[in-house]
Amino acid sequence: MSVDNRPRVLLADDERDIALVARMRLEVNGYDVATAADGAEALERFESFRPDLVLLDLRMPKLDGYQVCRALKSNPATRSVPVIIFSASSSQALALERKCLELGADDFVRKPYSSEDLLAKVRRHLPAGARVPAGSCPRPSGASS
Amino acid sequence: MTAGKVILAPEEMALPDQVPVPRTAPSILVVDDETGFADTLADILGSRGYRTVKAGTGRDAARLVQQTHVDLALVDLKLPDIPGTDVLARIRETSPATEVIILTGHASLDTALRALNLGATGYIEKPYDVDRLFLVIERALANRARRAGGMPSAELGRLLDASTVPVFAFELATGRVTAASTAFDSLFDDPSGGEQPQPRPALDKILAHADARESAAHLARLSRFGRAGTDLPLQRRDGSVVWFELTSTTIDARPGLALGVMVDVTARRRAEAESRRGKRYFEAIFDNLAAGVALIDSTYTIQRVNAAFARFYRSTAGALVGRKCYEVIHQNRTPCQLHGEVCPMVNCLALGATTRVQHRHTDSEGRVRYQETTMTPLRDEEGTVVSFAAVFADFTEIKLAQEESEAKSRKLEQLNQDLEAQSSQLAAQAEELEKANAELVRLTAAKDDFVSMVSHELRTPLTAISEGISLVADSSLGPVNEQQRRFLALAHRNCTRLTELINDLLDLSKIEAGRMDVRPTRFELARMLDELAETFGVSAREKSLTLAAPDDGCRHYVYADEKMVRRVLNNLLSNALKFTDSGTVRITIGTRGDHVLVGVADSGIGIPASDQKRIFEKFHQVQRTDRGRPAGTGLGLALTRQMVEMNGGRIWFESQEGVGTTFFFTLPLDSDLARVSALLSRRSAAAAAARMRAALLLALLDGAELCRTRGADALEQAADAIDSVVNACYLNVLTRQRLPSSSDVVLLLEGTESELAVQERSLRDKLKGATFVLGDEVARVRVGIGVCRLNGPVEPRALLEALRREVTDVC
Repeated sequence: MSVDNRPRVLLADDERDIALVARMRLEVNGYDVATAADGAEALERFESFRPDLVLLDLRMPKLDGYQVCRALKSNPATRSVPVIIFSASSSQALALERKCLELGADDFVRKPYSSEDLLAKVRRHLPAGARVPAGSCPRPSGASS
Repeated sequence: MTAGKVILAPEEMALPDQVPVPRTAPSILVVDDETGFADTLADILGSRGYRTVKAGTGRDAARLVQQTHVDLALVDLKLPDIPGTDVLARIRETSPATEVIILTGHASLDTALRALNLGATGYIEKPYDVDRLFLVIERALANRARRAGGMPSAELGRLLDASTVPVFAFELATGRVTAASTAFDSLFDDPSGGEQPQPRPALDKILAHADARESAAHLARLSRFGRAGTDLPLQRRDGSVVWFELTSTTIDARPGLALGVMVDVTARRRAEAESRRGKRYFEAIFDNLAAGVALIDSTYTIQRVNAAFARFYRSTAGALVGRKCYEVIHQNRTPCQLHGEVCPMVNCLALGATTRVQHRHTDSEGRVRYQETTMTPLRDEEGTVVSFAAVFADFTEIKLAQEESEAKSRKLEQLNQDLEAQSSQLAAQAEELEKANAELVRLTAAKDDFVSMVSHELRTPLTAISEGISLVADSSLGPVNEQQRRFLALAHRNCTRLTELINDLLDLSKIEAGRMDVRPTRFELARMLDELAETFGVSAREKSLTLAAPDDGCRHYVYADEKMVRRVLNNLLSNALKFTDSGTVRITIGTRGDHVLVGVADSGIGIPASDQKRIFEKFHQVQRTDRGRPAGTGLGLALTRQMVEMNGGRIWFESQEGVGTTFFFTLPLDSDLARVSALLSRRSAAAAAARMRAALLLALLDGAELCRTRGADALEQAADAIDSVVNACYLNVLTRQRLPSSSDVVLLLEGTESELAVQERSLRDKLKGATFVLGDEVARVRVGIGVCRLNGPVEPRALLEALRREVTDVC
């Protein structure tokens, strides 16, 4: 697949099924999505994929979302990339989210998520140049296959 | 008359040579009707040189005495004509100088004694003893001579002069003092010291210092026995009294004359008085002593006891004296041994010293007594122990008190040990409790983790399922045919149902754990109903049902948790639509008192009567006859009721099978009272869940709408710190139920009601300790309890700042 101008989203979630459905939802709405199954992989993929936005699950093996968020937001080179916390809601998660906010996370999407909520927040936080034009939701090339 | 005496018969008579014969021959008249006796007596008298005359009758005797000189008459009491006493009286009358001696038989001794009182000199019992006969006769004759009187001799006068003690001679008949010693004269010297020598006082004058009776007795004794003694108090010139013992005695050598000797006995009398006083003191002390005292002689006989002793033995002194101490004290019949100890009396006698013994014994009434006996030996002049003074101190009360005290102290010791045991047991229990508590904390944390895990672990796969289905169903992944779409919708619907079930379960467990916060606000119920009617209208139309919302005219503001109310209505409406196949689902709204009344009526299948009682129970589901209907979670209504009640409302229903069901619930209309009530119920609910917040902030606003909206809105922004915003006039209600504590902050804004509230004395006392924030207007009221004042009109920002200042300390 040739390089296109679709906005790139890095999705880090150790729940592979969640990652799959979320990726599909984003892709059918015109995003280029890369996934990572743990925090360490997320940082690796960040280097190679250069995403416009990061969706970060909090509970992950190796490095958790909190650590990944801190790594990204403390690095001047990566600081400007929006990070959305993508987490199941629980009282403990709330406390972690607050911490993430302090570290510079930009928003939250709580699981179970509604696809509308996910798409709206992703669209809102993408840098102006990387936004999918409103109304145009190109079908992913693989969708029809 | 004793047997040893010789009774003289006339033929045996012999004259004793040693008896002196009187120098002159006194004449003696013998008066007796027994001639033999009279003759013998006359012979005996004659042999002693007496001249004798005889008379056979009383009258003869009286006559003879008158006719002849008779010195002495011996008169028998029993005479043929008149009694001897009469003869005595006549002789006394006609010849006072004649002495009379009565002759009497044994039986008439009493009469003889009476005769003495009539003036007889003596008496002789028949049969008579010769020695006694002459003794009595000679004394009588001497008496007669004394009565005749006479001057003392020159020798006597010289003797008296030489005497250094007051001595004097006086005439028996007249009492005139005929001679006296110088000491006597100086004793009765005239105090005035006149030149004329005073005549010496006669005997009666001297005796006048004693009382009249004693004077007479003195004289009688002197005349009868020839000797008398009387104590006389004489006053000296200096006023002091000197006691003299006057001893008068007849002088045999000088009949008619007597001698008086006066001896100073002041010292003796003083000693006697002292002794009497001492005796009185002793007796007073003895009788009033609290301790029982007994004097016991060496034969164990009680000689004397005091009142306390008698009282102790429930007896009288009279009844105890003469009894044996061992009988009275120990109920023994022989001298006793006391619990191995020898009776103190034995010790006392052996040692010759005071002995003290403590003993326990049972008295005659069976009472146990404790006594201390102190036994002191009493000695006679020779130093021989003759009796014992026993002092009995009863210390039963003290002993019993002591025993009680000891028992108590033993009990206390026991108690102390018990307490220590309990204490260590409690410590052990406390330790166990602490362990249990730690375990509980651990379990609670585990449960929280579990709930959290459930929420995460169940929702995550559901999310994947739900999203996977909807991705396919909405044709995002390619075309889907109608049959495929229908089954995907079915799968998605059940995913949603499972998600709701999980949410309901979590909510219910939160409510039951008291961890569901109610956050009431003021909102318009009709607006919410409109929104819901719109949402549910879609599914109603799908089932061709009419959903009737209330009229626009019903605008009611309620005070409740908006999210909860929305869920309540959601549940009721979805139930109504679920169980209704045709007809209408109608929402009604009205008021009932200070509550809004909401009704959700359907024309559905209704609830069977058998299920109606259990409809609000957890996991209760109505047994269905129709299978096509989607099943509920069985938790919806339980949760609905909880949420209505948590907001201060009630929920109930009316249902008829085949006709329909109407659910009703109430919610408090927004009012100050509703706010207070909500506050109070939340407080108590929170307290029950042991999650009471540290601070209470009450914002009390007056009625002005401007103030209310501006102030209240501003305050509600400080959400966590504020519990309630109420009108000041409800402060009374509030304080009656729950008082702000010292950590509370009470905000009073301007207005007359605030002023009145804080001016009310009872309220002010109750509110003492609370921190007050006062509006500017109120600041003018001298309430004296405000700590912070707002300047200028009440502006939300200023208000919040003031609040924050106050609240940061306590929140």
